[in-house]
Amino acid sequence: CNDEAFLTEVPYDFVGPENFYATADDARAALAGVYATSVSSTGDNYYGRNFVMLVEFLTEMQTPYLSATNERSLVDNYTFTPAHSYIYSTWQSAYQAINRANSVIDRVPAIPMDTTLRSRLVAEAKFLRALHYFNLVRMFGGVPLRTKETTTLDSLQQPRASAQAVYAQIVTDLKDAIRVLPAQRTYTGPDIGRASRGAAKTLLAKAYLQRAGTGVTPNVGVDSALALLQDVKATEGYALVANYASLFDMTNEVNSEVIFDVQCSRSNGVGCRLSNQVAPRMSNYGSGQNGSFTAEEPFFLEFAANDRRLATTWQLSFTNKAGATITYGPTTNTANGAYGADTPYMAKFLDRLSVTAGNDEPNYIILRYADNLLMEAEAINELQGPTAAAYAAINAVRTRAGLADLTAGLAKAAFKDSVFAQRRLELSMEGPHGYFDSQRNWAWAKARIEANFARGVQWLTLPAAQRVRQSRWPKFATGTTAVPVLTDKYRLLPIPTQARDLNPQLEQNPGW
Amino acid sequence: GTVAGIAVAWLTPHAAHAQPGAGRIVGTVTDAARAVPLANVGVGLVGQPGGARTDSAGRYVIGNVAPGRYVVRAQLIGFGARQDTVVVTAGQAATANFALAQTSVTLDQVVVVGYGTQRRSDLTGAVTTVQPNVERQPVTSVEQTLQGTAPGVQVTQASAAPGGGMSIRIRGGSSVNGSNEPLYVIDGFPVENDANTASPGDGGRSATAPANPLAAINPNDIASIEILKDASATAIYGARGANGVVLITTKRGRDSRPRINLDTYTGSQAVAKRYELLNATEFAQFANTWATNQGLAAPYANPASFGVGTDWQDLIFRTAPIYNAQLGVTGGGSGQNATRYALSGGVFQQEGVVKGSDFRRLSLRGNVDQAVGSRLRLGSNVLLSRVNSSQVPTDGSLNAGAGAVGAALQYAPLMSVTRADGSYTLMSTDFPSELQAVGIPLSNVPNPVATALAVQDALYDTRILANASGEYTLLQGLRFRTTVGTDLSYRGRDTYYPRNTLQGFSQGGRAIRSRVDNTSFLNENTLSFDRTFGEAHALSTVVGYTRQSLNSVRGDARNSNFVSDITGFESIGAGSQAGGPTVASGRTRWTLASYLGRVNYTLLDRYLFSVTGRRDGSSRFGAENRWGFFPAAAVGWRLSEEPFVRDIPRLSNLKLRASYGVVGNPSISPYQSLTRLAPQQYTFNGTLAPGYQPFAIGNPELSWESTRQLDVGLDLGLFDGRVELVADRYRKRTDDLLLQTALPSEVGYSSAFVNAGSVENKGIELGLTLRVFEPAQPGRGFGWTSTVNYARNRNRVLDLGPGVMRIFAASQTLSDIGATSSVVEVGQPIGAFYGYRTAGLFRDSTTLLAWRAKTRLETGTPGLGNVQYVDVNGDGVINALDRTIIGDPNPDYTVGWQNSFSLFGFELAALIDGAFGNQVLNLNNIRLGGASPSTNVLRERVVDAWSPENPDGRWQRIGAGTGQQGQDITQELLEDGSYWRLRTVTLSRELPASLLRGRGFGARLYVTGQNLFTRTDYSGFNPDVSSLGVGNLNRGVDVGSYPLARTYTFGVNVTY
Repeated sequence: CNDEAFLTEVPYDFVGPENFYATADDARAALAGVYATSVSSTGDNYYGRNFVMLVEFLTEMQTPYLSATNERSLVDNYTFTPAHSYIYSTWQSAYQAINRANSVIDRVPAIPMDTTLRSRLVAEAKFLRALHYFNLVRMFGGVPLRTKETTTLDSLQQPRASAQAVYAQIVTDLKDAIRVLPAQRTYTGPDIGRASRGAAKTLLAKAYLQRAGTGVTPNVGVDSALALLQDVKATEGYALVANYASLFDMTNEVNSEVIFDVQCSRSNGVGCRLSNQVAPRMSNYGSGQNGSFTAEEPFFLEFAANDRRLATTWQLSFTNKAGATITYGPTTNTANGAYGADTPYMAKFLDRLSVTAGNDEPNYIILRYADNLLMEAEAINELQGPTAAAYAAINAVRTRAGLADLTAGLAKAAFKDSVFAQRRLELSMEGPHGYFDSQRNWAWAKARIEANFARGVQWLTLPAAQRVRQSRWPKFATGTTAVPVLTDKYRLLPIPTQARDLNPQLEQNPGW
Repeated sequence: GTVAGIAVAWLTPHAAHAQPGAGRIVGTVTDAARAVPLANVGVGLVGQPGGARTDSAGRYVIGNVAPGRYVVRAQLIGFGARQDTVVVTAGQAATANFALAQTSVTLDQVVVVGYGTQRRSDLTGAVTTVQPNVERQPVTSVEQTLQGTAPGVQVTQASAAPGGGMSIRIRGGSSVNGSNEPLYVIDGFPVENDANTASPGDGGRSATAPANPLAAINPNDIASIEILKDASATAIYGARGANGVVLITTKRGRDSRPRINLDTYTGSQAVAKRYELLNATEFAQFANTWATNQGLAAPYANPASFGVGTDWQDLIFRTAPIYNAQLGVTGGGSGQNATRYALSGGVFQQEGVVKGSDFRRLSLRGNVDQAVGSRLRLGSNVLLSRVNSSQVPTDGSLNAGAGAVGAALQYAPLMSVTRADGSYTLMSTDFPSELQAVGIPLSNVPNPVATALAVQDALYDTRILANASGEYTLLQGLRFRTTVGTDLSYRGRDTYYPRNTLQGFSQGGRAIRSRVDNTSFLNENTLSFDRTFGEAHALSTVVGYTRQSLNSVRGDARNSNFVSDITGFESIGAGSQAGGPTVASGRTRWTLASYLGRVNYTLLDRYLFSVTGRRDGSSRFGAENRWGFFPAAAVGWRLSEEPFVRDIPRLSNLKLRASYGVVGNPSISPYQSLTRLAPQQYTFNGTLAPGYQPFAIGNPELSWESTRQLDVGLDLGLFDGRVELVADRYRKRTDDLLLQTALPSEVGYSSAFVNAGSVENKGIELGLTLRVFEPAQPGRGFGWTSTVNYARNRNRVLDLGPGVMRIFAASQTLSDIGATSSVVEVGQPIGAFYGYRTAGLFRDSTTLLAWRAKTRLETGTPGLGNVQYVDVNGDGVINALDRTIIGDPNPDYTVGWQNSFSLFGFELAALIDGAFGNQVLNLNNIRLGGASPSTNVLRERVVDAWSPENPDGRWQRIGAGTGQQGQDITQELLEDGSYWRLRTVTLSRELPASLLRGRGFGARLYVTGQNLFTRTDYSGFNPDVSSLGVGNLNRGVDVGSYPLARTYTFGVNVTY
């Protein structure tokens, strides 16, 4: 009897690295696995929910509308701790994606296959690795830099690299990607949605701006960002679509404006997951009706009545299961009783036809051309002040929204604030951008967020009779009188407690 | 050879040459009751060397005895010793015959050990025998018969639901991530009873205690259960022996005419204890108090108008019947070509005390033993069973995932079951508007009645356990045996959440159909040799080669969005879930090849030596560490056979035992040593792109956990066996734990299996049997037997690998609560409770202000009547870093006390058992002790809440506000889980023979009460609870657990 043959483990329902990474199909599949990390394979942990909620709720734009102790309110109120599960889940997911990208970058070059395709697949993986490191460095500053697939259980603990070193890796990866990736318009059919040269250039410009704007390398690289943005404008062929609403039309996802997005389909395992968070409570939309994203009233009121983005961004009314039309807004809040918020729910990325969680059709937009224009205005203003070119860039976005041109003759600082305010109005819920934008204009963002807090606390001190609804500001516990103060520690998120438990070499960020 | 030879020479001084002028003593020893000769009886001279043993005809000869007067003593284990005085004259034979009366069956009892049998008196290992008695304990599953009856065996009911999971720890748990359940060997077939892998799907519920796979076996079919505890006993099962081994032997035919046995009982069960919760009026008052304490207007002007409202416990609990019937026939002949057989069929039906739960089992068992000539014996066993059970969602969750029980405790009493249109109410939508208006946070607890009655969750298990064996005697004492066997189980779970339930509501109905098909094959070949050489040497050996495999195939289909609830799970395709139904399938297989051997050598019937070894190869381990060797050795010394002891009056048995050995635990899922990729699709522009992702990192060095165990034991019998004591002391150390170590997430994997760390278990076990009064004859006179067992085990984690002091694993986090309740920490018992230490409530402002001066909460500020958190690390802020070990789910000691009295044909038997010193984490109190009327709460929580008027109140101020941070696990939730319980009481009566004279019938009537009385300070249903399953990491947690039932049964046993 041959014991060794009897005892050799035969895998039936999975593949292992020994018999994978052999063909062009394997290479494509390994790369698809990296893309999938952005939504389906990480569930709610990353772009599916937690990452988006972190970046959105840390602004004055949206509130989860929940009680003070709810984990989302903790983010919204800046009362979260380093142990907050959303922070750790985002950390974990980004590193999962990075390890998967590393495996493609390490293993695909050895696969005998068409070399052009092979180079492109590796370049896509580098783009994705850069994207995930960019998310990490924006959240945490320097993080451990792992650029090889983990294949053994030896030497797993690494200290944090500096933020400069992480940015340097991002720059290297994106420059590699720019050299190899094709222009977005050359992708056709089932390749549409892959990382393109335009996406790599845009992401690199974004990284340069963020690196300079958050003081990692003050004032260095803004010119490179501007050059890349102008190069994209000149050579990659993107343009604003005429109608803002059509950007969120599920039948118009291939358009001239979207540069990179998480590709989703209304099917098991490949759908996006935000719809059931966005859908108004007790509405008949989507797979669930959590109503997790509602407008903070002051931000909602910043949308001019004639802003064409208003009705695309916010769910101003909906027809509930009983057939009644519920209208939202600060003046109609008494009618909304059981439906939760007094202010409108987020309307972007709602899929009215989604039935189960994780089956949403709308792609989640990460990069689009309006963002490029606003970054261009920001970069010009940083380098040269509010020149005509800077005005032209921001006004292109305003014009499409139906707004008049920005007041001429603004000072540099005022122009900067206007660009950031416009970013909030144009890009809310996308990217995500909110908290990361705040990091580049901290004093401005801090003042807005604190003013929003003050308003909520003041409202709580009103006699009960004067409050329309008790739960109007549920994110603060009854009796709260102190307005939370945003110290500078909040310019970065804390390294998650769970990660530091497992790797004691990780130093905590200052103040946490 | 040499050493043994010297020992023999030294130990046999009386084997000297005959001297002239000496005489002899001869005689015969018989069994007083049966008048048959007794072999192997030791006959000796009191105060003198010399002696002999009887042969098979009961005859003995003591030669070479100098003339004189002697006291001759005959003794045999299990019989009362007798002595007589004889006078020996030169050259003559003096005669001394003895008739010995049997005193105890235990010592002469044949005990099943791995791959053989032994007389109890020859055992060197720690083995406990339990004979299940269905009369005394009508149980669903075999493990329940071990509850309180076997020292060192802790049985925990993970769920008290009919057929619910059981968890057994023999001498403590030693594995963190592997299974801690013992290996079950059913008629020689090893079954790794891993409830999780046997479980067909999760029924759409995230946390649920898995059903018990052993419930497929009818306890009524079991003749005896042997529990092997020390390394010497379990090493024959090598790599699978570390958690102990439970040998189950089913009833077999004997040499007799056909005997028919009918056993039937019927009874009724009711919830033993309920929670005292608020009624509707009290709830409305509670809401008023809450609002007033918030500075708001009271929502209800007239709380009394609500009356008592809805008693949700009343609505989901019921008095439930239990019924069992079993008919069997056994019989057979003896001698060459004889056939022996046992056949039985049984029906068992149990409804649960929670509506919607039940358990039904049909079982059929047959075994045949056929002798072919004098050398060949063929045997077969077949066990067929079919279990159908309905699972009502209960344990394991608090919020939207709460089961019927958890929901019944939380659901507001002033809400009705249904709305005006007949549909079920929901806390999240139908919560009274008056309460919503004052801003009470909404709870998402499902409707308890809908959960119990509308959710369909059916489990099926079809099991066939069969084996055939042939044994051929090659030479006298040398036998070859081969066995082929199979364990087939086909399990299914069908679940449907209709649209009128919380889960089904948002999804338009949800259907799940899961199947798992397990096939295990076994081939064993053993060669055994049993022989006595002369009077001094007895040898019993076995060597063998075995192979076993288990192949597991799974399928799972889920769908939602059904047009109608009519077809439920029967038509998965009828749903129209976006993107189509969810389907999954999988297959795993493990194999095990083993070489085993054991030598038992007995010298002079008093010096016992045993050496055991097994070499196991398992597919589950890395190619570099696939084989393991597990040796053990034991010695025993039957002091009572020594001349200098055997004259001690009243000492009938005295044996010292010691054993040491290494055994293993391989209990991890297959393929953990391999790096694996998982499929994960993506779509580009709506076109599916198949993908693969690395999802698990391999470890080619992965290997067994190894447990070294030292056991020393003492067996003592006094007064002709009327007092018997078995005492053991052991120390187990488990190294190379199979740890699912959390990896730094930066590496891209969250965890990997490694061998690291050590755990120690040490303890003592005592078993004492007192035959206080023995009836003159069975069925006549007064008899009283009392058995006490006591066990103490200390479990401690010694090491968790380099640099690791504490392990958190995702599986320990309660999804509803988002907190880790148990950890594995060096220096602590496995699964110690982990959370915030608290120091009661702030009762006076001095304490409060002093605390506030030094400490703050991360959110909010505590006031009077709030919980006082302890700043464990002294950094001035209460946060996650202050969490620490706050309790231990393991008992300090467990006790069982069984009494049986007989008088005038009546027998009264009672079993009391208890566990002491353990704690239970009562997570129900996160809600039931809550500060706001989001859910119902304990009546006591309101009555005895802190307020300025009740400064000594036990519970937090109502409307405590910022007192407790979120849903922390705090010391406040821990309760003493010590209990003692009158587990069973049985009164039975053998019908007098006069009633049945001459017809060959016997009949016995019995009434039994189970769980009649429990003494505990624990406030929940049952302190013997483990809602989160049978693993080691989350023991002793109570979340909406299925309540314990009090059961009364009446039964008849008829024999012919």
